[in-house]
Amino acid sequence: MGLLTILRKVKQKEKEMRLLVLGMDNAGKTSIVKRLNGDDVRDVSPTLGFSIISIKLKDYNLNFWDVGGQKTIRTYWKNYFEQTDGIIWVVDCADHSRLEGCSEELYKLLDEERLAGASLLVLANKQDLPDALSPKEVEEVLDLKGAASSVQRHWRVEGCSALNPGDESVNGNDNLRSGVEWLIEDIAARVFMYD
Amino acid sequence: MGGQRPWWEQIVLIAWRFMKQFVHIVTGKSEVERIVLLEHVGGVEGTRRLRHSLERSKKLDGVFKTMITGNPQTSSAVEEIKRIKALSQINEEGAQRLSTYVGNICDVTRFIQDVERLQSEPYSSENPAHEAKLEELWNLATDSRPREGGRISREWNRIGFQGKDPASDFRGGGVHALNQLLYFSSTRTGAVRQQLEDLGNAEKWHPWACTGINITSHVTSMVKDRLFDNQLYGLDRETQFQRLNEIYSDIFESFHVDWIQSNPKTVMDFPPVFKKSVEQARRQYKESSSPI
Repeated sequence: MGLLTILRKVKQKEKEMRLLVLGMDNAGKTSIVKRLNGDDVRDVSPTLGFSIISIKLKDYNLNFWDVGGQKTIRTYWKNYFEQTDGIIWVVDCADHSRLEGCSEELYKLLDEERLAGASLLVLANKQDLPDALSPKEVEEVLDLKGAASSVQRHWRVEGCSALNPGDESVNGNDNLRSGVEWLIEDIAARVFMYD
Repeated sequence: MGGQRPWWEQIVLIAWRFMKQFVHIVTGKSEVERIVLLEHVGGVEGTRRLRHSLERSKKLDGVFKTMITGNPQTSSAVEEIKRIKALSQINEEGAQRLSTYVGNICDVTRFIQDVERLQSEPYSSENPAHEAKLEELWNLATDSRPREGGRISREWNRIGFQGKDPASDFRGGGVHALNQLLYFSSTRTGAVRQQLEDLGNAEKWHPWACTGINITSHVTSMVKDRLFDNQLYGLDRETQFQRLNEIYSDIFESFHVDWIQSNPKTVMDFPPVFKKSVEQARRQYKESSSPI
């Protein structure tokens, strides 16, 4: 029995998943994790370093690694790549000036060998803001089809609004929950296939 | 308030009530009556005693709740306490003290609401007053160093904002977070500049301004948990804000000492050190605010 098999078995038993939440600063990473956890999202401050929140969802223990998005901190993202099952990439859809930088950072990330197997959920956040790009537009701007093709990565884009999910402009466009559910099912199909 | 106490506090509470009954029988006076009839204690100490008595009393728990939530009314709370404790015959000084102490507690409730209002006032680049404060912060922290690029500039990173425009970093803390950073920088300019110089070392770097915004968030949650009440009774609003900002500055300074002493290798060492430091501060204030 190889180490990998043992690891897989251990994981199988606990049904743990490690999800890395990344994106530019002020994209809304912490707010998204807090909302998933049912916490108050009104007084979120910039993330200092990182924080880990464990959430139980559909029989799985999800460990969200929420790492700060500031430029200086991005250089440390690589410390968290090991054993990552899924990536949640959060985009501030109203911050047009930084979309290019956002796309560059995502490409760098997807080039990482250690993340090659990880499923990718892109969250097009801040759908409540008037000049927010739609999830479809985000998909095109980030050229996700091109980015994911080389390693046959499983990916999906969903729109959401961490702060104002009930906002009229968001309407049917808040798919935070279903996006995350897709992510864990996709990971489960890969990691826990012997269940 | 009841129902969530740990078991040891339950035991203390039971012993307390037993004692109270005993003293009541011996002196013929209820605890509240004894507190407001004491002449030698000052307003702060009297208020502190009254608060702890109300907190622990089964009968007065309801009145106490109206004093610490919503829109507290001093006069109706006083009447209610007098009614429940049958204090209609109390002497004038006693009645006066009761009213002052209750008023102090209600006032801190309103102060907390003012803090929350400031915290939820978002930073706006269109508001000249906000912009002026931000510039003042920059000047105090950097000794008026010229900033390349003007208002939208990479250089904001020097004092620990994340991007080119500090506005986005204030999201959770609002104007209150900016006020506190500004207070700290204007009253303890030397200490602030020393901190920023220490952080110039790459291993010790952390986003200073963002750290401050996080400290605001913790201090706000502590004031809401009524840990600073004793420092705030009987003061006017301005002095109360000043006290709160002093506490913020103290916590910021002691965190900095903890951070440097922890010998960090990168900013990723930050979370545990910060957590420990903040928890330590919370414990300290909790101890100094508890009755025994």
